[in-house]
Amino acid sequence: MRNQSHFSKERSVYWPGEFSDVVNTLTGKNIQGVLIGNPLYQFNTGAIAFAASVGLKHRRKREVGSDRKEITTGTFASHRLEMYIFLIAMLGMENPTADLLRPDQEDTVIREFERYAAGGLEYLRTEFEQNPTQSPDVVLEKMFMAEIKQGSGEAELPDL
Amino acid sequence: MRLLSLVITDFRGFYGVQQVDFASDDLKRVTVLHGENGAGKTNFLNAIHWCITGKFTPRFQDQKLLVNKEAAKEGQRECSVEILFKDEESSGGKEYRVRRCATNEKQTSFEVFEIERGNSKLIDRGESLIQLLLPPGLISWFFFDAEAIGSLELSGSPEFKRDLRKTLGFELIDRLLLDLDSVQAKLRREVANQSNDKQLLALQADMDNIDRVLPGQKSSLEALQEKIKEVSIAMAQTNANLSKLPQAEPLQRQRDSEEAKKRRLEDDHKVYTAKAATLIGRAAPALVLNDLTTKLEGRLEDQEVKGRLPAPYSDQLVKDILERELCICGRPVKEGSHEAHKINELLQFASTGALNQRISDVRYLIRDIERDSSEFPVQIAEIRQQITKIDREIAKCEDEIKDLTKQLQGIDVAEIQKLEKERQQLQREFASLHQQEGGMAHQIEQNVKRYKDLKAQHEAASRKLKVSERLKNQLSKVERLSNFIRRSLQEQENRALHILALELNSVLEKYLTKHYKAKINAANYAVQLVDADGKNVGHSTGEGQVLKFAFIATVVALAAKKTQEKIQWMTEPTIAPLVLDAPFSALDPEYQGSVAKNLALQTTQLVLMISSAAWGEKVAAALEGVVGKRYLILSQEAGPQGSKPVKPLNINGTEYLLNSYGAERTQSILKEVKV
Repeated sequence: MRNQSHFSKERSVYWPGEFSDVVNTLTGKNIQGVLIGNPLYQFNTGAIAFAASVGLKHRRKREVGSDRKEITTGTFASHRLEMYIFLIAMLGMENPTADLLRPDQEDTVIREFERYAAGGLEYLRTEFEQNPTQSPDVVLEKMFMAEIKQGSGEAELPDL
Repeated sequence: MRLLSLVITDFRGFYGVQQVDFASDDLKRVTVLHGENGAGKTNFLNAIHWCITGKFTPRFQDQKLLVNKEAAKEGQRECSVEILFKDEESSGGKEYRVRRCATNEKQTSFEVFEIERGNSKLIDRGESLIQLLLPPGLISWFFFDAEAIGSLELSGSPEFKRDLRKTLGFELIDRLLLDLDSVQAKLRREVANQSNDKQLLALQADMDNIDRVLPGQKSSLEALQEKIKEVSIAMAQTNANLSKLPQAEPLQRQRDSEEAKKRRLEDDHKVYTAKAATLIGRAAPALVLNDLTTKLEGRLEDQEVKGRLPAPYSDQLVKDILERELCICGRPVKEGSHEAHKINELLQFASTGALNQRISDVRYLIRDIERDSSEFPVQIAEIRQQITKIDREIAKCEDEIKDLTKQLQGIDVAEIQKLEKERQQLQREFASLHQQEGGMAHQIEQNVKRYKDLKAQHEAASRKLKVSERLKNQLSKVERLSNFIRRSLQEQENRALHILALELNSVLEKYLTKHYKAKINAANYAVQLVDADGKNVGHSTGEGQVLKFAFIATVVALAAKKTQEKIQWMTEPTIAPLVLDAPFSALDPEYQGSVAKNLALQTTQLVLMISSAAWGEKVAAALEGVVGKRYLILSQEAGPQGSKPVKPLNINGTEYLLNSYGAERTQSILKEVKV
């Protein structure tokens, strides 16, 4: 995947500041931003892309709100994660079409990605809170194992 | 600061008055003091350290026994160390004399004199002058007990980060930020008082409480970390003492080796758990999305087969038709006509370069996700297996250590039992300190978090209240200034670490045969060797020691602004001698020559205390050309020789004896050897 931005211009992706603790957990940092554990992600972009995936998987969406933090699409591109913005928006739309990838849909794509990221962060906070003594990688591994065992029961995608 | 001479009187092993003149010429800037173990090298280092700072290096034992025992028997109650030094020419080139005296009970005097045309003038605030010339944060880098280099922690300990921040000149900025924080707190208090709002006043009271407690908690944490460092050094010393006892030596050697193995395994454990976390991070989106993307991929393929993805015509075709006003079938398409309108509508379904690129990249991503989700579970399982294996080996090591400890404790020798007890006590202390450190760090984190929350609530509440514009403006200004400084500090810090890494790598390039580079973690200042692909590498003990020596030399050169790139925020360069006690015995012989050469190159003045074993051919070849002064630290024993050895030292073809027996008294003598 290329690390040049796909977006027609630099755009901002927002995530709720109230979930800084969850992002810190995923990036192995404490409240002061000091590395204290093994990071699952080196940068916030990785944590947000993952949170959006979780939000999508569990159909958990919410608005970002006014206390928000910003990452530019260029930063996602430089970390080779920009296509997740498009993919998650596509997978999440009720009637997804490849037309969602057109330049005039960029705002819609980003807002949808943001909502899933916010929902995913909320979901992950609960997971981490329920397993306070376990490291985040172990919590996630357990989460995947449980899901793999259950199999996927998600809604079918409609025709494109 | 350049050391000119040192006069030592009845201090520790040095009986009477003895003097050393230091080499201070730019071309001949190295002073070497040769002495065997126990001759007084550490005492000599501590004489300089104590005279200048009033403190000793952490490994210096029996700090309450300063007065030479022989002199004390003769009625002497006081010892002293006097140092003559010269300020750098760029700072005026003034000469100063520092003198510190003490009995075994307490320090009796500390005086700093400025020397002008041969006359000494007492300086009122001598301590401050010395601190200005050699800031306390830098002392441990310049006066270095290299036997303790093993305990120099480069893996990112909080105390290491704190020391290095001081060295890089960030302490002042940290203090400025703290001051700005208290100004902000004061203004917020005024906002609360002016509004007289109950909620705001309560929030303010909570914040004030945290403000009151937090500095104390932070100092307690620092004190605990300092104590942990001291206990680690004491533990290393006890182990070394046990190794010196013949009955304990083989078991202690085994225990040392098992403990070293356990540490290596624990390091491996850290590496593998970090790998597992990174892998899970990389795997997570793929594992979460896989079942959804598989369906999407299938549908994209269907669309492709049906010729709809991408659209069978491009936006350029549509634009060309509209521009030429002519359809591909030959019919006219007039602007504004029904046909033109219909053809224009095709644009929203036409394929474009950007759209095609995105479709293709989405499909690549889907394939990556499919591949990763099938590969990752296997990889994660492999790493977890590896971690379990390491855990088992650690448990085996622990059993072995327990067994060896039991055997050592069973040896019926009072000295061994005493040392073993000491060791056990230190271990208990170490474990308890670690626990306290963790608890304190947790409390601090909770308070910082709560303070942040309270501050956000305070800001939100105060926005709704009627408070004077002047006050709001003031608060906003201080906040903006504080944020600006924090951002700038972050940039400077990153730049400083970048320069440090650059300099360190230019040194390592000359030392290491492998293509390893040093990388410094900006968050915790951990220094790690990485391979050509930037991946962390486990390094041998020898390479680890080289990294540490290179690091010390680089820090000293940076502090003196002797490096190619300068750190702007370091206001004044600190130029001081590097005084190293027994520096090369901890190193593999293959690295000794190049490390010695680099130390001489990176410093403005170098004082080395070295044993005959560490003064090998390579070290001699690297340093001989720059040695300006040379002394022997002769160890004289009052008792008979019996079967005890005499240690010879060969310098440029002449043999010197470093110890003798049957002397008038047991003492260390500093004897100059003409260069």
